[in-house]
Amino acid sequence: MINMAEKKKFLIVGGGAGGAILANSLVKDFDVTVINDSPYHYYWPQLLQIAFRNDYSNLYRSLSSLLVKGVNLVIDRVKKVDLQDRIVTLSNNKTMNYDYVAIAPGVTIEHKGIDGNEKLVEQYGDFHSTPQNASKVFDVVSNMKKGTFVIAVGDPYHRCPPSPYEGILLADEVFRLRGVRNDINMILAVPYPRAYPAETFNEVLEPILKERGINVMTFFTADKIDTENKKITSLEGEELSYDAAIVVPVHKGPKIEIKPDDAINQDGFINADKFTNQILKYDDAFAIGDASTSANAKTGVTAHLQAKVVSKRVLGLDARNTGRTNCPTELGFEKGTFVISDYNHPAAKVPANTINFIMKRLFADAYWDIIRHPEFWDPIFDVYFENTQPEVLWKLFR
Amino acid sequence: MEEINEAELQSESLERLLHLVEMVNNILKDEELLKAISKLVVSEETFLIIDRLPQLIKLIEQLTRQENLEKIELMLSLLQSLDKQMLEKLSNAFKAIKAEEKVKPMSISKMITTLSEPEVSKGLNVMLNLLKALGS
Amino acid sequence: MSEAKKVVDARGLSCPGPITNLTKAYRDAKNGDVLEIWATDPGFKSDIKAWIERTKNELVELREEKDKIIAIIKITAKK
Repeated sequence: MINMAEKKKFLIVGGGAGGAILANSLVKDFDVTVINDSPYHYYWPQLLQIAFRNDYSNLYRSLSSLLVKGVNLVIDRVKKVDLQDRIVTLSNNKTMNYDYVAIAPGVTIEHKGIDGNEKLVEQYGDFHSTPQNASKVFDVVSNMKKGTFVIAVGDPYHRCPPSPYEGILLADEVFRLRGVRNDINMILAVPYPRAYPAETFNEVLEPILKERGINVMTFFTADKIDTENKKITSLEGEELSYDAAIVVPVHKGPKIEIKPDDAINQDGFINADKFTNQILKYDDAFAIGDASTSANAKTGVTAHLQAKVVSKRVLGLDARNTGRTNCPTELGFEKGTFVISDYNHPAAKVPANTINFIMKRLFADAYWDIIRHPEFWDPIFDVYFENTQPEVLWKLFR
Repeated sequence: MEEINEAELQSESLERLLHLVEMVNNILKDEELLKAISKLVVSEETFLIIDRLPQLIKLIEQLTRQENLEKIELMLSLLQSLDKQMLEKLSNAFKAIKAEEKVKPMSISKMITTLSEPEVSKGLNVMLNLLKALGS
Repeated sequence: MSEAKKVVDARGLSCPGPITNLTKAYRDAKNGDVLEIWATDPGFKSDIKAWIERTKNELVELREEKDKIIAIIKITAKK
């Protein structure tokens, strides 16, 4: 048996998808400790299911139940990470040192980043912050009878790129099922030149939005919200009136002090290499997932893939991120698609159909098992990712 | 020591089993997922397939016999070699024949001028080549 | 406050990277400022023209160099 003292100390800040998978993948070879500010692990995509289905089932599990035996868990808030001296400081000023550190605490949602959004979210909720706010959305969509319903994007760098589209399409489904759709004008306002930022995937999505009667406003970055007069003003200088509105809030980096200062950018995200997740010149420090500038999409799949890359790199393998995204997208009425791209290929035109919806839901229902048992799922995902490479899909769907 | 390991292994596999059960339970509780699956599985087309399954199996068995497979492959290569435009012309020609139920009699002089049209002579050439190939 | 010139480097980002980076810089900019955006995505040229049309700012220059497309924008229409 390997003596515990011989194993190197690996600290993981954050027990989300990236942190938990990394911990479970490393426990054989390292003395792993996960530090998380809550005893729970949240499955954030469930916020959409709460907001438009009132379904809370997959929202959270206790983090300890998701970590493999042998992983140490500390429930505390990390105040500071000093990369130079290899010290992590907790909220009570207790310090921990490490041989390796991975920082994966996710984002901070800042409603106040958009003038008036704090008030707006109190009224209508949102589906990017908390289950409480998501449940407000459900109240709105299940009671609204007429008027204009708006979803506007205030920050293009939000979690889950397809979420605003899923939001508006699922709201449409609710309104249709309630029989009030004809009396509700639905508007999706986005900062981009077209409905979906990636031109190729837009070819899949725009016809669906059109078919469902959703009006899209382009080049509209929500900037100010006047909750008295129910108006949103965009950065580009246009106005939009609403009866009910959800503005996707501003996302910032984690509230953790990181030394040296140039390890974080002006929005608090951690500067990490997009191929290796390494932070600056520190070959013993990595940033994974939403908190890291290396994540080209703020999604669990990206965090998962990055965790696997880091787990291989610290064992001496030259694994690299391909920038693969795999964003399952629900379109309502049991239809779905995936946004699949990588650093070298734009998003493929994966068609919207029932099979893709089933795939999406199977992923979601298997989520907890995927976190707990990387050794079981890794080979399955290897095959999946290999066969659904953007390069391959581009040949299939033109 | 060995006994402890044995017990540990057993508890680990029990735990794995519990996790799998939890996942299956998640899937079974997912009403929308089940609805989507049943929509796919229970449809007019799938019922037809189930109804004709014995015939289908028989057909597949015949099709996958070695000698038949070879023939099918030959047919496929023939299909691939066919020019799409040519086929379209051919089908149009057949349609035209069908449409003109009453074929008007043609004078010999008209026939000769028609034969000298480049399109017609091209078609005749193709026909002759085909007949030659079949005859050889 | 003095007018500033800022370079937005969006090379290597494919659409809509350059436009979202521009949006971000636009949020912090004020009238009179000049933004210079560098991009490599070929779709950027048409996107930037559409953006100018919608926001009514001034496109001072749009040129293509060997390794990048450069757009120089004067902020004039910010409210």
